Amino acid sequence: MALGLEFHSDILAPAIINGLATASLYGVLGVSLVLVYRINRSVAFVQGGMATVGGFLYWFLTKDPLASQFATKGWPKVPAIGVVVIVGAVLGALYGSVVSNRMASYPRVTVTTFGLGAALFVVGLTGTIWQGVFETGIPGPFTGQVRIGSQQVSYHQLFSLGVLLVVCAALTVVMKATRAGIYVRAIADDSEAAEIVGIRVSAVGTAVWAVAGGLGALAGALIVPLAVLYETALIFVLMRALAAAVLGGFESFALAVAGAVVFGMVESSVGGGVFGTVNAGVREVILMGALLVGVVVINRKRLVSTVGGE
Amino acid sequence: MDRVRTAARRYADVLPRGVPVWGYLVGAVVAVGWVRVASTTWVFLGAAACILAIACMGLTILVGWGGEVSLAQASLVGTSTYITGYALRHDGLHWAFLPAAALGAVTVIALSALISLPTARLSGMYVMVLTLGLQVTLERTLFTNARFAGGVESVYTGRPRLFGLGLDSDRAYYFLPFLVLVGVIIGLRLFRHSRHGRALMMVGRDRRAAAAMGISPLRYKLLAFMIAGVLAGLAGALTTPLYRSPPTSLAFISVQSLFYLAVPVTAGFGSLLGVVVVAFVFTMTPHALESAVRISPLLLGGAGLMLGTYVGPGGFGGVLLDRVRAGREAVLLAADRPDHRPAANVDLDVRDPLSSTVGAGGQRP
Repeated sequence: MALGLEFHSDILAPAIINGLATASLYGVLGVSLVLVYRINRSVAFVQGGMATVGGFLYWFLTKDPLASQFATKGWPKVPAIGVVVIVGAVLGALYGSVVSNRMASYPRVTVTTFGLGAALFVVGLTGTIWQGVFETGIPGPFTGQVRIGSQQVSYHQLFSLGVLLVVCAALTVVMKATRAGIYVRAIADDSEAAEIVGIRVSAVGTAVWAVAGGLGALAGALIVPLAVLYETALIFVLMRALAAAVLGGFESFALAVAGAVVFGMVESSVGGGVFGTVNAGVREVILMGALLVGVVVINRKRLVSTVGGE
Repeated sequence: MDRVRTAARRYADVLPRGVPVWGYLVGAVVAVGWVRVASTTWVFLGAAACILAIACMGLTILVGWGGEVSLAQASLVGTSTYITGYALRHDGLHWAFLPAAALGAVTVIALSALISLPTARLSGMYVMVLTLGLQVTLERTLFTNARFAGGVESVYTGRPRLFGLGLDSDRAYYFLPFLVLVGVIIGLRLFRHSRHGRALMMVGRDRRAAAAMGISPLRYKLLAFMIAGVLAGLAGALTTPLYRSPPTSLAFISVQSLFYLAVPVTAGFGSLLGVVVVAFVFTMTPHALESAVRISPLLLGGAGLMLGTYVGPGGFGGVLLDRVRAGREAVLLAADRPDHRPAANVDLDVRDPLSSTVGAGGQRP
């Protein structure tokens, strides 16, 4: 468990490239968490369930049925990604219609707990439907690798990074320069006032949840080619995405992406041996420490003044 | 004499009002007697349900009374399980059961204090994030350590002898978690009616109002975390001998913490007995349905957690209890008794403070 004081500069560059690629996976989910937080000021733990649905559905649709004990579909991968996003968006809209209507005036902690229940339900449902699934090496939508510097980067990692940048840029533009973005910001500031001036709060809320659901499912589909797929695997990834969103203060998409990059690079550098051999446990403690610092030091003053009294 | 009378009245409050003496007798006979007729599988599950109920009562205090949501309860139970097991085993510290259980519990209490201190001034959602962080950290550190969790080779822990009584069989062992559960319920009911219990509920309901009344929200928040830690520690210490060998860390991962949270939310925070009932239902239903359909217990937990938060302040169980009470009051009103007064039900006192936390029916449109 001892931490050495080594520094291997020769593997720093590959670790940074690898960290960027890893960050893209956390970033897509992190951005969706920020999006939801901006509409109803609650932490969307349900996105862990959305990612689980996305991951399992992508595997189910693309896995060759001849090589599986389950009745998988063996579809082409790109259309499967499209279906995953649509299903995620529909589920997100369903969830959003509940929390934006009947639960609209519930306290945020209650809505957050409801989201935890939804995540648990979805994880239990996938575990019931696809019992015993433990899959590794699920191919991504794009196979092959490219050499960047001294590091091999897969097209899937580049695709994920591209998706993250496009999503982040699109959401930033929508939020800052469109009427829909103004509606979302108005609801986030004061939903009652927004309703008084004629904004259809529940409709906008449902739409935002649909987008977030689609992003959550997409994140799940992008993550499974680089992870092991089983019932509870993607909840762990949610933790990383949450940390990224927390470091970004749950307010800014760009900061959430920056948070994901910080986490991705720290994880990649420490895990890749830049600072000597560090076991997984110590790595986790370092990441937990970063999360703690992020929450307590960076957000504390603002949180106490804005939502501390809830 | 007055002090004796006051103490007697206080201890009488431990028992739910309106239940006749024969009701308690029947309850006691059923709780103890079913073990005689049921198969050992069901008795084993009964012991597991008692342990689950003990752990979940910690969340009842923390979430329901204190107004904070912790997502680390499963990891705390797991920590206590593995530490107690290590202290018990021949290749570990080889201690007796009670000191080993105390070590497990103390470790968990220390962890609870550790997470509660930096989160003390943060809002509920960030407490969730940080407790989930603690959960994942424990999963990746302690639970992957073969010395504690056993790794690929299973390690034997065995069951203890307590006060000369052998607890090796499932039927005999059931009574240990059962009696601890009864003790926990009595202790918590006494605590709820104490000065500190009421102060904690006040803090859970309205932190600022509590502070204005001279109650320290910080102190009572820490107290809630500590009590949850004590109960997680107890549950973990009882889990170790139940399985005879440390269960896989999958029993204590993040989603299990959500499952733990689902139990008190489904039961409603007004009823400790409701937590016991839901713990038994959640533990035994998957096994009962196994021959027809295999369902993940997480599915039940998720449904319970969603329904519990969706229906309102008392949780799913609270809605049922409200219906029963409304029915009773309707009967009394119909009888037009002159001495009729609304029942002074202690459960209602508990439910209201939660309308600002997990339960939300009071603020429904």
